Amino acid sequence: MKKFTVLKLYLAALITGAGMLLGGCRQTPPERDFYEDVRSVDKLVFAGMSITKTAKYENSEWYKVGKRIAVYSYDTYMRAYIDMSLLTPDDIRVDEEKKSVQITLPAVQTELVGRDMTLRKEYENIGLFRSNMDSRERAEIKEKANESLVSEVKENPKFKRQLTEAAERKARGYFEALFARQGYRCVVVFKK
Amino acid sequence: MGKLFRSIIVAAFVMVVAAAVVWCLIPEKKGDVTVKDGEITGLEEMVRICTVDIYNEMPVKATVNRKMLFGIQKQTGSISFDIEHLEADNTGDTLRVWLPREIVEIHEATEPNSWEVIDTKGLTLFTSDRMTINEENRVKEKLKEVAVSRLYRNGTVKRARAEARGTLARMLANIYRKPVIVSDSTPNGQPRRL
Repeated sequence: MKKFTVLKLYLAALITGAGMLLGGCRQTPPERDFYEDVRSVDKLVFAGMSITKTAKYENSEWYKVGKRIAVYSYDTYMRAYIDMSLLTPDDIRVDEEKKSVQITLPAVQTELVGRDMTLRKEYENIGLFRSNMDSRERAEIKEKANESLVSEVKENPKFKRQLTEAAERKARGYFEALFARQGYRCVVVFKK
Repeated sequence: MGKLFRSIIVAAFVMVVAAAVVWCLIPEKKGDVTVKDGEITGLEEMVRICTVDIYNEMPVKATVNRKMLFGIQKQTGSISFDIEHLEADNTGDTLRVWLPREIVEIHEATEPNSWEVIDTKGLTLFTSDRMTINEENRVKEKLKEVAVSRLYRNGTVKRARAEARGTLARMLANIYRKPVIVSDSTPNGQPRRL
């Protein structure tokens, strides 16, 4: 009888141990949080720019017969705006006698808006014995092109300069025309 | 002698076929990517009020031509209004303007890894697991449509229009120095047919 109880206890311990081991080894699926943000803004956009990036992929191995070349392109978009929440009542000065207005606008800011989701196929030459390009390879090509564009926009002032100049020109024209309809001469100044 | 010769020929043939199959199955190594400098292809002047900026990160599971793609995409977008050619009535003591149709834009983000492909697979035995660029573009166009219609469904467009009414009224009141009424005949927005 005693022998039986000892055996039962032994079995129970074994089952519990095995359960704990199995529980410890169970793989939980990798979790990832997805983020969503809808933000209220007060932007007055005066110019937009599209920048085309072209990337070439080439893979030639000595033991493979046939070429594997692909060229893709896509557009990335930038915009120039003024943040209207930074405009205060003191920034608009009206001289009723001279019928003139001076409006001091916040500095023009630029930002990358996003890029095309789709890719344009400019050229593809995949040999008969080579594999077609796959989605993961295309995603990697786009990633490299994007890295290059982001650093180009940071380092090369030509993108921001052209966009800012266009936005300032448009903003001047817009406000001058608006006030002109009221019979006022408008001078637009930008904060730096 | 003839039998031995025939066996050698058959064995050699089998070995050549096997070698060819193995050779074809060797996976492609990573290739070299050369990126050209960015080229400005468009510069457009506009006057738009932007009231909502959107950022969205979402898992993508899409099927096209019996091929399935699973990935993760980061999207950016905005809702804006063209106020350059506003419809207005400035005849009385009050300025009345009509809020135009919203411009809903959704793009892929430019931050790192905004388009990650986790896996693609063929859903039947004889379907390749590689999507062509046209198939992938169809998936992406569908994603865009879904994202835009979601903004109408979840009230984001409605919110953007309400905020645009306030912003526009404040701005025009400062300029015209008289009461401004911004009318909106479609407060929930008007989805465009894609």
